[in-house]
Parts: sequence; C-alpha cells; structure tokens
Amino acid sequence: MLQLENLGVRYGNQIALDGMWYNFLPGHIYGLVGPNGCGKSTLMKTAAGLLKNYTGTVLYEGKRIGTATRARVAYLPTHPVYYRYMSVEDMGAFYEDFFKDFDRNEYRRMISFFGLDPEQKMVNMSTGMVAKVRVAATLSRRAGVILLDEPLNGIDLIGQDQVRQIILSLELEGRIIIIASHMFDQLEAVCDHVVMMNAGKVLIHGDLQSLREQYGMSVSDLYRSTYAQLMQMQAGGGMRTW
Amino acid sequence: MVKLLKNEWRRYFLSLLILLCCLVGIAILIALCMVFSISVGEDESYNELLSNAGTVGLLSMLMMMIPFAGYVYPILSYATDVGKKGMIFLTPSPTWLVILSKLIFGVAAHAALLLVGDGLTWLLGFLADSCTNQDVVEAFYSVRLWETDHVLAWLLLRGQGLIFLVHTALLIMGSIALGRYASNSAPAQVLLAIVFYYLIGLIETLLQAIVVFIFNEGDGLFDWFVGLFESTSYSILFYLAYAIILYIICTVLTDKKVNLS
Repeated sequence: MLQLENLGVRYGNQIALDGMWYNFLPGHIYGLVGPNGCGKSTLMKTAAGLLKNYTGTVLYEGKRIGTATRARVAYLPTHPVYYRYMSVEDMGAFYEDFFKDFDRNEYRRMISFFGLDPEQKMVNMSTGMVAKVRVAATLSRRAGVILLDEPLNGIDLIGQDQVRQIILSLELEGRIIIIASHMFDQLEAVCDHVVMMNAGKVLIHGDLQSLREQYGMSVSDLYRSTYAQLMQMQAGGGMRTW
Repeated sequence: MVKLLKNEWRRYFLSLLILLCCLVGIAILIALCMVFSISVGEDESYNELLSNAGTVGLLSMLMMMIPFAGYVYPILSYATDVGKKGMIFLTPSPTWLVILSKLIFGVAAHAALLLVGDGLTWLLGFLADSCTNQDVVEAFYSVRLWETDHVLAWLLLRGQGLIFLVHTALLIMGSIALGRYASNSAPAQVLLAIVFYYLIGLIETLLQAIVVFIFNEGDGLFDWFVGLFESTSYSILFYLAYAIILYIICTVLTDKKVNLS
C-alpha cells in the first residue's frame, strides 16, 4: 500500500499539495486527474522519492519513501529524461544495470510492438518516439508501484492505443499503477479507480463503477462538470465564455 | 559503484577516445617537427620556427590538454544530472555515491591521459636527443629527468595534481549545488554559482592564511607571506581538507534539491 498522510509541498509561497491524505491499494490502476497545477506531478515526484522538502509522510509497504524505495517504484516523469548518447538499446542496458526488476526481453518486445528501431539514437527521434521508448522502459519493470505522469503526451493515436493495451496486459496482483493526466477521456478505459484533485487536495475519489452509479454519468462527464463548477466558483459565480 | 562508473564510461568514452587520439596526433606532429629539425641541421631560420612555434608550442599544448578531462568530466556530468536530464536520480543510487562515481571517473580519465601524455613525452625525449636545436632539447630534458631519475618526485607531483583537480571539480560542483539551492530561477542559479565559486575561493584562501600565520607566529610578515605560497605540502593538505568539506556540502545540497524537483 502507498500511504499519503497529511502530505504537503510548497514551492516558495505556492502550495502544491495541501495536507493530502490517501491510500493507494495494490491490485488497482488509479487515474490521478485534475486541471493543470492541481498538484498531480508534485504528488508523483514525491511518491517517486524525488522531492525531499515535503511535510507529512509518504509510506510504501510501511517504509518511508526515499532513495532506497526507488528500487520498487517505477516512475515516468512528464518531461523526457534520457542521456544524449543513448540509443533505444542503451536505454534498456541502463535500466537493466540499475533496476533489478527490469525485464530486458519484455522491453525489447514492447519496442518491437511500437515499431521502433532498437539501434536508433534517442536524440534523433521525434517526441512521440522518445515517449514510447520511455513508456516501454518504465513498464518493463516489475515494480510494486508504477507512476506514469502524462504517459500519452506526444504519442499518436495508434501509439496511445498500444500504450493502453500494454497497461491493460500488466499483471496487477500486488502492484499499484497510478496514471496522472489532465485528459481523463484517454485513460477511462484503463483505470478502475479515479482520484480527482484540486488545489493540492483530493476532491472526489472512488472506483469508476461506483462513481458512475452515484452521479449517474460517465466519469469523464463527472470530471467536466466538477471542474466547470469549480471554475465558476473561482470566477465569482459566472463562468467565463470565449 | 561499478554500475555508476559503467554509466559514466558509456557517457564519455567516445570523447575520451577523441582526447587520446588528439594527444597521439599532437605527439606525431611534434615528432615530425623534430625529424624536420634534425634534417635541416644547423639552418637557424628553420630551427627557430620549429623550436618555438612548432615543437615547444605543441609540447605545451600536449601538457595543457591532459588536466582538461579530469576537470571537465565530473563537472559536466554533475551539471547535466542536476538539470532536467539526469536519469541517474531516478535510480536507487544514493547521491553521495553518484557524486563520488563522477569524481572517480574524472580522476581515472585524467590519470589515463596523464600516463599516455607522459609516456609520449618520454618517448619523444629520445628523438629530442638527436636534435641540434637547444630549445627543443631543453624542453624535453626536464620531463625525462622527472620521469626517470626522480620517480618518487614525479609520482608526488602527479598525486598533488590529482588532489588539486578533485578540489577544483568539487569547488565548481559545490558552487553549482549552492546556486541551485539558493534560488529556483535558472539565470539566478548560474549567477549565484559564480558568486559562490569566488566566495568559497576567498574563504579558503583566508582560512589557509590564518592557519599558516598562526603556525609561523615568530616569523615576520614577509616570511609568512612567502611561506604561504612556497609550502606545497601545506597547500595540498588544505586542498584535501577543503575537498572533503566541499564533497559533503555538494552531497547534502544535491540530495535536498535533487533533479526533476
């Protein structure tokens, strides 16, 4: 279980996470959604053990998140992180060196599934191709927690379908998968739980089926209506129109 | 550690290879100059050009290229990793080990270039023996003397060079870490890193001056001043102590504000 207890993060005067409480349970795929700047990426970074200046507690299997837990937590940052010298194969070699849970054969299978050339240099690839390589490397780890921050960014429609297929094929037992996105429509097919965030806090959460029954609409529509209401409130009662 | 070093090797082996090729290339040019110098014999007009602009100039270039790798690799590697491209901080490797691996790789690269450079100079020394040009002979004389007759002194000199190199690399890395810690704005971070670089340098010199002054209490101010700069062993001890402090500062600050944050 990944536990967030009163988690708070500030960037100067700006509050990114405002005393957030949540338990992510194994065996589920969570969609972490919300408008830009609501704290999704900060939450992902903190859970990945990359942020140190936070208040509260983040625990994975009862242990405090930190450098050591990165061995069990696979994280895909939103921006491309790779070394310039790397080819697709080099990326696999790097992951194999540093992560015991990395499955090189699985990685090669995914690269082939995406139709990428293993010998191609990453610097010569398009944004979408690099995104596919990074997704393949992250999902080839047999990690207990998989954190995907905007995994479909820059990927074409066919590629997005392929990524969704791969996610749906992952063994879920004992694993937590969290996918952060501001475009929930793209993720509704793969997630079984949703956590809607606003201003660094959890707004609505639950499993997709219960939410659909409770609100009588699709989760995408619930997302739209929820955040439209919030924007109306922030705008002082009247929603701005173009 | 092995994996971290392997990562550094993968990142920089091509540029290291290019540097080694440059060293060999310069050595070949020097050899060609000397062969030409021997063939023209006592012709002064040729010899002056060859000795000053050619052989000796190239020899200086050879000597200057060697420390380059030792400084540049750790700093470049660190600066890249603390930026937005640092994959290494996604791995479970602790920060102190990551920084140490960069320093070890820098020292190893420097040592490799040093050995090749000194070896080439030593070999060129044999060719210089046949040269009639006195400038060329003298330029190589000291090098050969160090390497053959004063092995221990040569080793000590190179050891001191390595400590100085590690200290300088850590001074720059520590300044970058302080700059990043002090501000979130990228231009301010660069500016602050430069300010910290000079500030730390100033503090180091002041500390060194105070310590040397205390231990030379009986001497006059002039003696103390001369002693400060002449005493290499003092300086190396200071550099070693500063390097350790800077390494701790660099590790702690990098860890507090690890990349991607």
